[in-house]
This record gives sequence, C-alpha cells and structure tokens, in this order.
Amino acid sequence: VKPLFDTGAIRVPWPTTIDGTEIRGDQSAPKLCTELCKTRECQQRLGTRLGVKCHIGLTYYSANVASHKIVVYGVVGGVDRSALPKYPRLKDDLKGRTALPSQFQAWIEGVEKLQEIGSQQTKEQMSRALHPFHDARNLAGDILELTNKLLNSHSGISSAERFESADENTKALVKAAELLVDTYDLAAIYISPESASFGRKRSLEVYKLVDKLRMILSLPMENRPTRKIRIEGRCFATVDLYDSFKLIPLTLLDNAIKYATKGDVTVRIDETAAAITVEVESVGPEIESQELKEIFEYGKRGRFAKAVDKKGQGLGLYAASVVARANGIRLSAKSTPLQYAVNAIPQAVNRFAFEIPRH
Amino acid sequence: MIDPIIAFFERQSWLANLMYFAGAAVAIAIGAKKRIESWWTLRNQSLETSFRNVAPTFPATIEDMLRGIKVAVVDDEPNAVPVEYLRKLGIQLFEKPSVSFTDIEELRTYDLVFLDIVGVVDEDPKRGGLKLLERLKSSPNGPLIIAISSKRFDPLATDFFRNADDVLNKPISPELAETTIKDLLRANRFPPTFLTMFQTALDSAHLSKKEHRAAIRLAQRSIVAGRVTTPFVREVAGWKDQSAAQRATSALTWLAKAASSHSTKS
Repeated sequence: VKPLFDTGAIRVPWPTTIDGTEIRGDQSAPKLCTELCKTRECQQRLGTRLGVKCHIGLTYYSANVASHKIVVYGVVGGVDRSALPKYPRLKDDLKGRTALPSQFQAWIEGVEKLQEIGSQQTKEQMSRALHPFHDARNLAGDILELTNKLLNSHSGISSAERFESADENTKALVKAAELLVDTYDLAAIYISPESASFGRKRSLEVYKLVDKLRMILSLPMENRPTRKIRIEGRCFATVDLYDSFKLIPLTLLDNAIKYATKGDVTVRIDETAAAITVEVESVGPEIESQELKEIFEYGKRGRFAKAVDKKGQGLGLYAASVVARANGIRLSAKSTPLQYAVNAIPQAVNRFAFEIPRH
Repeated sequence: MIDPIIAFFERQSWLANLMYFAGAAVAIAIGAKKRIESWWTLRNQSLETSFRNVAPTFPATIEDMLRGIKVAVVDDEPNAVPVEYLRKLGIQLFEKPSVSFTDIEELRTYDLVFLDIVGVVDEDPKRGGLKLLERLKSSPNGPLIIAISSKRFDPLATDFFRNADDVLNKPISPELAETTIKDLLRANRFPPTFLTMFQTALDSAHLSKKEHRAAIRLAQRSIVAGRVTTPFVREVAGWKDQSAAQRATSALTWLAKAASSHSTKS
C-alpha cells in the first residue's frame, strides 16, 4: 500500500500513518498532537472507520487495507467544535482539520479500489510469467511416475525393498525425480502460500514418510552434500494431513544435511496419545538466540548459516512454517552451542522439531 | 346443527344404524391400528433401520456406491486420469476433452467431475475450468469436483483449488484416484456418515432422556416424510446448544433427501 501513496496518485488530505510510518500529505500533524500528546493512543489502539475521540479531544480513524493499518489522526471528527477542549494558544491549529466519518470512508474506499486494481494487475503479470512452470511441473510429475515404474520392475515386496534392490543409477534417478517434484511444490508454497491447504487432508503414516525421505536423501549424489540419516523411535500412528505436509520433514532433513559439519543426522520420532513429535538433530553452525525467533520468517537466515552457504535465500524454513500453519503443526528450533568452531564458525547441536496433534 | 343428524338416524331402522356405527368403529380401529403399528415400529427402530426401510435401494457399502456413480473427466490430456482402471470398478466414466458453458446443466447430472483449468472450455481456453467450477458450485446439488490442474503457481487460480472438493497432482495413480473418489463419496454422499454426524450432534447437545427420544422419533418421521418436518425444527429450536441443533438439522436434511430420492414409493 505505501508505494501507492509514494507515487502521489492518492491525495492525502489529513495527517496519516501506514503501519505507524508518517505519509507526506496536505497537512502535517497538529501541534496538539506533536506538543501535547505523549501517549499516541491513535497509533496504539485499534480504532474504527467511524472515528474514535482521543484523550486530547481530537478524532482518529483507522482502517486495514491489504493487512496494512492506515490511521488518519489529529482531525476534528463529527463533533460540535464548541465541545472541543480549549487550547487558546493552539486554537488556529485546528482550522481546516475537519474530517467527517463519511469523508474518511469515501477516501479509504478509493485507496482500497486502487490497491485492488494494483493487486489484480500484479497477479495477472505473475500468472503470465509463471505459466511455463505448470508444464514443467507436469513433466516433473511424469518423470517421477516413470522412475517409480522403473523401480517397480525391481525385486521386492515393499517399495523400500524394491528401492534397496535397485542399481545405483536407478536410485539416483528416483532421488533426482523426487527432489525435482518437491522443489516445484516448495516453489508453489513460496508463490502462493494458500496452496499449502489445497484439497482434502489424507491419512498418512508419518514414520513411513520420514523413512522414505531418509532412503532418498541419504543417497550420494553429485554436487549435493550427503549424510547418513538415522531414525530413532518408532511410530505406527496415522494422521490426517494435507499433501503439502511432506515439505516439512523434507526441508528439515535437507537443511540438516546441507549444514551438518560432523556425524550423522538423527531423526527422533516419538508418539503420545496427544501428538506425534519428530525431531531432526545435527551438528552445524550455531543459530543465535535472537535468530531462532526469526528463523521461520520469510528470507531470514542465521548469520553463520549465511557464511557456510552464500546462495541460500531463507525460503525453505519459511515454506515449512507456512505448511505447518496450514496443517495445525507446531514447529520449533533449538541450538545448543558446542565449545568449538570449524573454519571460525561456532558449532552447535541444532534441533528442529515439529509436533503433529493427533486430534 | 346436531338436530338434523339425530333426525336422520331416527328415520333409519335399528339394523341400518347398527351397520353405520359398526362400520365407523371398524374404520377408526383400522386407522388407529396402522398408526399404533407405525409408532411401535419406529419406537423400536434405530435411525439407520428407518433409513434403510424407506430407501432399501440405497447402496450399503462404498464399493456398491462406486458401481453406480457417473463420473466425467474434463481434461484435454487423455492420460491424466486412469479411466480404464476406474471403469473396471464399475464407474460409468465419460471422457470430455472439451466442453462448452452451455453443457453446465448436463455436467450437473454427474456425481463427480475431474476438472482441469486450461484448454477444456471452448469459449475460454485460458481459464474456462475456473469459471466452470464456479458455476457448478453455485448450486447445492452440483457434482463433487476434483481439481486436477497443475496451475498451483497461478495466483489467479487460488479460488479454483480452494473451492474444489479435492485437489490431485497429475499424473494420478489408479490407487489414489480410487481412494480419493471413495473418500469423497464417504464424506459427502454416504448415509452412515450423516447418521454418525446426526448422532454426534445429539450426543454433544446434552439432552435429557425425553428430549433425546423425541429428537430420534421426530428424525425418523422426517426420514419417512422425505423432508425435515416442522415438529423436528420446533423440537431442536428448544435445545440449549444451537450449534448442535444446526449440525443435527443439516445431517437430517441430507438423510431425508437421500431417503426420498431412493424411496421405493418414489
């Protein structure tokens, strides 16, 4: 929304803030606000489109446009001017500052319409630009299906047995096809977070899925780091989850392998009556406590992780957190420092865990 | 008012009067017997038995149900859905590489539609599937829809996936297609699901024994009538938990409608 105002295409007739930041408009804030107000309640409280009277006696309006809070403050709302408190020294300061609820409503509707037009155009541009991805995703799906058929021609009763009996090239092909499809599905989550909850939830055996990922990700592959993955604990429970769920263990395991500097990656699966907990543990660059709070946000990465892998974009854990929210799963991270460094990067035992409620 | 009636009987012989009264008594007894029998039968019946008695032709299992359903595959890619496999399960399956917006009424007659977005509607090859889904979902009696487009990257297709009953990635394996259809039927078209929903709503409503009995009895009558009757609506209006009342009514509405459409009388 703010860039819309920055273009100057929208007239800003009253003192206005967007998410607490002042917007340049026709009027600056009245001195009553800048000199007498210490609390700035207009910015702290919720406000309404009909206006709220502040402790000084002025009115502020508030509206949410595309998740941004727009506040018009320091105006004289629909009240009798004689009812305003008397500030003789500043009485001229209130001249031309009337903003009735109907005026605010008309103005904010204009902002909303303009924002909607801009948003629709952006979506149309994205839709055109991303069109080739659809065919590519379809082809990736075809490749995966073919590799699975190839795998089924090997001996074994279960898919795990057939995978084990396959030759190294077939295994590598299966791994590449699986990762290719998953990469497209992760990209769909970054682009359209709503896609994490498309469709119906399906019954899924978490242990089986994690074990399949273990088999695939443990395989050595050129240009990709490899680590042995050990699974501790057992769980036979099934839970109803969206298809997107797979991206959570995939991202956590892929990250653990990518950043691990020593030993195996350990997955602990624990089952209680209330929840299934999966913990992925590895030794790698320390994540500082402040970073742990932000690590699941869009584009956020730990500073030591950046030093190890400069190409990362901070999207994997963000996508995992989107998928976790869609599935009602709690995702958490913990980093316990070790008393040594590798290439001047402090090391720690990093544990990423997710908890799937069973009801 | 009563005098002409008395005068009429006085004019008749004692035998004629006896026949009149005996005939009337027999008619009342027969009527009363039927009502008592119906009340007694319902009293000793579960809701499920009532449903089965009214709609004996309703498929008893999901597999039976699968054998009778009509499915359309609206997709320009012929191999997207395992049609031959689904046909072997007894599904009446129709492949439609392209349709027109004028086919909407015909599509409403299907139980389930696999639907793509691009290249399937003559009038709008780019986004026809999206508009088709909107129109099919605008009526409550529309088919179940499985979205099978790969346009998940498209921010303009979000509503298509959100409004579909399920979403599958292509190519769809035979097992997944079968499981998905069964799950959708079980959740949306299978009487035991709605009987359970009704029972769960009743259990969560904290009713007294008397209220519970009344709800069951009135629900049975609604199923026999083929619609939710006014006495049932009045009864649940008195429940403390109106959310449970709403859930019970919506489950019963489905059951009564399904019973009516499969009733031997109809």
